[in-house]
Formats: sequence, C-alpha cells, structure tokens
Amino acid sequence: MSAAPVTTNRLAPLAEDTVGPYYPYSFIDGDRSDLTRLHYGLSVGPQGRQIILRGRLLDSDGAIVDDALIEFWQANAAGVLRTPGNDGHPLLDPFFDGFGRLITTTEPFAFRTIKPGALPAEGGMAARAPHITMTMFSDGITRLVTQIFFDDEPEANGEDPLLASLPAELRERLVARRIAAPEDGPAVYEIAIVMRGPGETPFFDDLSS
Amino acid sequence: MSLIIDRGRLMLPGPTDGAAERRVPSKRLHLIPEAARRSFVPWVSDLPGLKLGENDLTRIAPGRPQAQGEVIEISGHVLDEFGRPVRNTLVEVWNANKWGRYTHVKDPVRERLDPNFLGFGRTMTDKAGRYRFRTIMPGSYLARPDIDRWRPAHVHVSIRGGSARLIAQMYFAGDPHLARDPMFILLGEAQARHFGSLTGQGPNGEALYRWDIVIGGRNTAYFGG
Ligand SMILES: [Fe+3]
Repeated sequence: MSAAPVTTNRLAPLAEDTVGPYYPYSFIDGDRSDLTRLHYGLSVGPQGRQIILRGRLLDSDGAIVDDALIEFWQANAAGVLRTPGNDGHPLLDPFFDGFGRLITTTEPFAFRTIKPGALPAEGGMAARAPHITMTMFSDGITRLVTQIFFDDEPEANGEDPLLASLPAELRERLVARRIAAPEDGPAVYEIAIVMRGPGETPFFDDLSS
Repeated sequence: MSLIIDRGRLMLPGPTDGAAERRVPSKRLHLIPEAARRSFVPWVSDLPGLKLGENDLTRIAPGRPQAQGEVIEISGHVLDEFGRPVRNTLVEVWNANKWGRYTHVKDPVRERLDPNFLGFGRTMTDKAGRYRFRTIMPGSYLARPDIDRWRPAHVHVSIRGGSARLIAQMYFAGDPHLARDPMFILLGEAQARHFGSLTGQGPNGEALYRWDIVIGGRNTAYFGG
C-alpha cells in the first residue's frame, strides 16, 4: 500500500492525474496569455522585442485540442530566468516574470510575450538558444513538456544542447517559424505542437526509465 | 559530441473518452540532457489574490444559501517527499455537485444543476503547508454512457506555486464504483494515498476528511530543482 521501502523515510508522493475536461475557466485569472501588459495602462513595460507565439495544439487527427491548459516559462530579454537563484541579478527585468498560462479554444492560441534572450553558460549548464518551455495539460494526458525555439536564431539553435540531443529530423519540430507581420507590431512566430501521430512533437522527461 | 539518448518513458493511453488515444504521444519521451535541464524548472511566485470564502464551495458567496448535499471538510498538509511544508502555494479545487454534474458549461446536460453550487474554489497553504476547504460530497457520474462506465465520487485538486505542480484526485473509501474505475485502478500501489481519511465530525455535523498532498517524484512536481 503506501509503505515506503524501509531504507528511506521519504514520503511517497501522490500520482499525477489528468486535469480532465472540466478544469474551471475562471481559474485563469488575470491575463497570463499576455506578458507584455502586466502593468496595463503604464507607458513602461518589459524590455525587449514584443512577439506573439501563435500555436496550434493538435491531436492525432490533426484537430485542434480545445480546453487544454498550457503553461509557459521563459527567460527575459537578457536571458535571465526569474528563479530564486537569480534574486538580485542585475539583469532581472522588474516588468517581466516569465510565467504565462492560458486555456486553448478551437482557434489557434496566441501567447503574447517578449522574445527571450539566450541563456549564458553557467554552473555546469551549457549556453542555451532562446526558447520557451511549454507544459500542456488536458483530458486524456497527465502532462507533456517541451521547449520551443525560434527560426531566426540558426546559430544559437545549432549549438543548443537540447536540440543537439535529438535526431536531426526531430529538431525542426521544435522551431517556431517567423511569419510576415507589420514592422511596427510584434513579431509573429508559428508552431504546431502535435501530441500524437505523424509529425509528433518531441516531449521531454527528466529520468531514465 | 552529441550523444543521442532516448530512454524516457513510453506514456500509455489511459481511459478517458477516447481523448487519450488521440493525445498520448506514441513515441517515448526524450530525456533532458543535464546541460539543458536548468531552464525546464518554472518558478511561480505571482499567485492570484483570493476572495473571502473562496475555500468554501458549499455556497456561492459568504452568506448565500447552502448547496444541496452533504457538507464535507477536507484538510491536510501539502508536503514534499522529505516532509517539508510547501508554503504559500495555490490549491485549486473542483468537484461535481450532489447529483454528479459539474457546473462547467461543457459538462453534457444529464443531471441537475444546483443554483447554490459553483463547484470550484481555491485556497492557499499557510506557513506550515496546511490547507482546508469545505465542499459538497460529490456524486458519482456516468462518464461513458456508451459503455455504462461510472466515475466514483472524487475531488480534483491542482497545486501550483514555487516549483511545485501537481494535478490529482481524492477518492472516498468504500465507493462501489472504485472497483471498475480505470483511472483509480491505474493508480496501482498509490491507491491508498489517494483516499481522504474520515477523521470525525465537525460542529455542524459535517464529515471531516484528512488528506495530505505529497508532491514529488517525476510525476508530481515540475522537474526537480
Ligand atoms: Fe471529475
């Protein structure tokens, strides 16, 4: 039952479950699908280039998955993640915290944010190309995690250890393509996240099985 | 050198209305190379402010009429695997009403709505990692009318804050539908810790359940920091 091995006094964690089809919409409060206007109405905001990541979360029939909960996590324009380890970092952006959240509809989703900077090499970690971590929850799955890159960063992408860990033919599935958009507005990137089937997106895990 | 490592889990479709067969990746998950792991761990500090009474699902707002059904109170600690409290963390809760219907607009209209029951609420853990909320004992519901599959009574929770992240369900021991519920069966050796334990009665006759929520391991937290 819940007895842990006698060699450890660790507590046994609960099992992760699906979020199901009825996660309440109103739990998405504030507008975490737009990280450029956390201080709406002020003429100050986060540093960096505003972008829109336009995406389609697709099932094995190629249909858009609605009512999925997507969470985003990214560095600021200077490549700094707002983690406790970076408290007091001179390049933290007071107007940007990097955590986004939305529930999908039957239309493509649009995550409005700033273009993350490349992460410098640090403490045994390699330098990273600009990217956004995405976590997907929906009926039928527990959780899927991946990272999305940008097609106008070919040099950084070529050196990124996550992309390098994948077979070459899978790498491009994680790269959002910049599409034509008015010069004076945000840059627009498009990505398809395919949960299952042809063109399936690579998803990530942190322990070997 | 790029070593291609591909030994992550193969996720298996579970039993939820056919969605799993279309949404669970067919390929094994890919392991995160150590050199790339740091940025996979979100840190969530900006949590919503809560309104008074949001941890009381038995009424729509303080002072409003009580929803129909049996009032229950669920409390416990949110802990990590080492028994340390997970503090100031958002606990989101949702469950079906007495007749097994969610207030969610997408729940197919089979059972009655209760105008006094919203069916969702939130609370925040305190400095000791404690949480507490009151709700209505959820009804079981017919999840798959095509194959007469019922879901046992359950309460959904989502935990979010710091780098803790978990979505889980609490069940009630003795529920006759447990034995045939694939989601419960698939919990395997973890089944026992998904039961709230009945510890007594509150001053108004409400059933008191204790349920500790332990976050940890590959499946229950954001990737360990
Ligand atoms: Fe449910």
